[in-house]
Amino acid sequence: MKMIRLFLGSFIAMILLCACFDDEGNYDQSELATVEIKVSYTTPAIGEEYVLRPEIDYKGIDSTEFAYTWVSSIQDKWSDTISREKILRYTFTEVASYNICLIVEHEPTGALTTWNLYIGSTSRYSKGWTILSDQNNQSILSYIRIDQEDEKIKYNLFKNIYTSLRGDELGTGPFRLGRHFSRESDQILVLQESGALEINGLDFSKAITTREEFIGGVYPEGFSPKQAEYASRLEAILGTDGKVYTRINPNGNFQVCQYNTLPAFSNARIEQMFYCAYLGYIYMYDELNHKMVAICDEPQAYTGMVINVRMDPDGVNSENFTPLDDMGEGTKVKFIGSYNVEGAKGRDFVQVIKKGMDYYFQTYKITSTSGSSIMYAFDGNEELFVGNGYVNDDSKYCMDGSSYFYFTADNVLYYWNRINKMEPFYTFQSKIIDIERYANGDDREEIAIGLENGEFYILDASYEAISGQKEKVLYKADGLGRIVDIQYKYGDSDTFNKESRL
Amino acid sequence: MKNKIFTLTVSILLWVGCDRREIPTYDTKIHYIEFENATTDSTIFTFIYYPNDDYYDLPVGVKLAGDVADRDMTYNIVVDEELSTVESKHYALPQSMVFRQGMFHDTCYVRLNKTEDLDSKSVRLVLRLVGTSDMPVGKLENSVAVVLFSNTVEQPVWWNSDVETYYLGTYSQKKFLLFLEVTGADLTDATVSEIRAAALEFKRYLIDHKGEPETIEDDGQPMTVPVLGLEEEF
Repeated sequence: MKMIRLFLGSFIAMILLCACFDDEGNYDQSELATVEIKVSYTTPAIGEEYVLRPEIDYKGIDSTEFAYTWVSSIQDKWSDTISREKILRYTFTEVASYNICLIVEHEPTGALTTWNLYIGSTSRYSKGWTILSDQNNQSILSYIRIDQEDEKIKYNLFKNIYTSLRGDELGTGPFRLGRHFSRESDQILVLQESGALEINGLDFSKAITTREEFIGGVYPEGFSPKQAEYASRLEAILGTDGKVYTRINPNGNFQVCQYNTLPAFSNARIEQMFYCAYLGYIYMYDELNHKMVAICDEPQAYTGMVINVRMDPDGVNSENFTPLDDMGEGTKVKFIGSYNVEGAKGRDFVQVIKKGMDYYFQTYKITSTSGSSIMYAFDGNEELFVGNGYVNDDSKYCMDGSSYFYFTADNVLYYWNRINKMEPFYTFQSKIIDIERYANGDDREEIAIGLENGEFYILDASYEAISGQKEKVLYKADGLGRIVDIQYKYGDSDTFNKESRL
Repeated sequence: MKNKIFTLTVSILLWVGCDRREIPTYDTKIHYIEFENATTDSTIFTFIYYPNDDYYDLPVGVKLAGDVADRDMTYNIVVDEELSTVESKHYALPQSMVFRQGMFHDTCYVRLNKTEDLDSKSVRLVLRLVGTSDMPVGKLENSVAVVLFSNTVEQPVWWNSDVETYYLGTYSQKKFLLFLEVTGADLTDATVSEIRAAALEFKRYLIDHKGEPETIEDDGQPMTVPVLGLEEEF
């Protein structure tokens, strides 16, 4: 009994002791100082500062008592604080989905109010001009976007866009661009001495090195890329040794197939390749056997098949026409162009060839039969090129279907109406390195010119400008280094197939 | 008496309350040995892909069931002679079979010898795990491994209808053997690009050796492949 009393006494003493504790907890029911947030927003474009200006109703509380935190997550991959200012100013660099969250904290009470936005960034780099230049041996890829402002076309230059967006250097020793499309977007092939690679056309990130695009991840022995053409299904890459390697794209997506390491021709030296929308094959000049040859792109059942070019035995050609299946020892093909006249028999071709020291202008048509490994040329015509005596091995050419033909000689751009008029179109301060024509069939018909001194021009190529009724220079940029190549960026295969024919 | 009982009870409770025990883990110290594959998954091997080799060390995966071992453990594989059709000249088991400490998976290499009689027949090697003091045998269905091997040619699984239609054409033993000799390619799990590359390499060879006996099928027709490319030289 004593023991029980002892225990009970101790227990009561403990309870009484607890009653002596001083509770310093805060049980005030103060009101949370939350706010109301409204934000108007647009879709963020990568590479450009994205600004969100929240309208905040502080409900009578001093606004200086609040702190702001902007947090963003990208496709659930990472999450980070991107600003601690009230107004968000941030530049997204990837095309992706973002969850942007604004957290407004009332600092005295710790009360939080949040606002969320799920949004996808877009690229505004889909279409425009790309310029590859060499600046102190560094590869510089620049981009010109064409914007419409008040119904006027404005050319916005993004100089060295690769480094601006990605932060690192592209490479060294640049010399050529290539274009590669899917239905949704494009990739830009950059050929350079430090290693060729493809750039994502939406955000200018590196997609893949050309070396990795070969089976086994290694180049065939002696291979150094010189040019690549990407047709609908057939993709071909040409080396400086004249060997061509091919791959067949099963679905039109990027990086879904690899080049094989066996040359497409065992006894040929391909000097240049040509592809244009709906051509159906990649056309080539074999300088070793001095003949034109092709590899089938479409129809699908014949992709990869070599197509030999023959002169149609029943065709009528001018007496001096250089036969395409035997163009003669030493003949060089300087330019290949093609266009299709609806309803006409055969596809039209234009070529500038050099025989001896002279340049000749060839026109001819080609018909190809699905599944045949031979296609026939006919209606061949050849004349001494109107620019003979002006042009040289560095001259560049482009054309506007069957009407105007353009060519360069050092620092002068000439046009020829292919009938009776050939004259300088524009004279520049430096040697012309490359030209390319673009038209959209609506409000743009232009020729871009890249110069050795780093200047880049866009000239109006409309009839009015050619005939002197309009100012020719639409846009000029400079300070780009030594330009080595320029290329219009069509953005996707459908646009390329539609607009490159205009 | 009541006080004594009360005091004793409180003392026991206090003693139990002070007892500290480690959380027990399941460790039976028994390590079972099993083949990686169940008996139903037979291994089929042909020396055709290894024309220059006299033998092949076939990897046979084994695994441990139970806790990881803290020392090397010995296990044993024997040939089930009743179920096997091999002769002793056809194979050699490793001298020692040790499951390395700290591993859950290990590999035993069984040497398969390419003997002349394998050119015309296939033999069956049935391996059976036998328990040792270190490692008793685990699941029954993973205790036997069956290996069928030969030096004969059978149409490989990868030479499917797509390969036949677009790349290599109709299968024949002579074509397959020449293909292997020329390309050395095993197209199991190959990408379409790899299949096309091998087929073009083979086509290149057929072009270069056109009319030679090795490129003539047994029916007297020239050996051909449908893969597109290299047509300029036909």
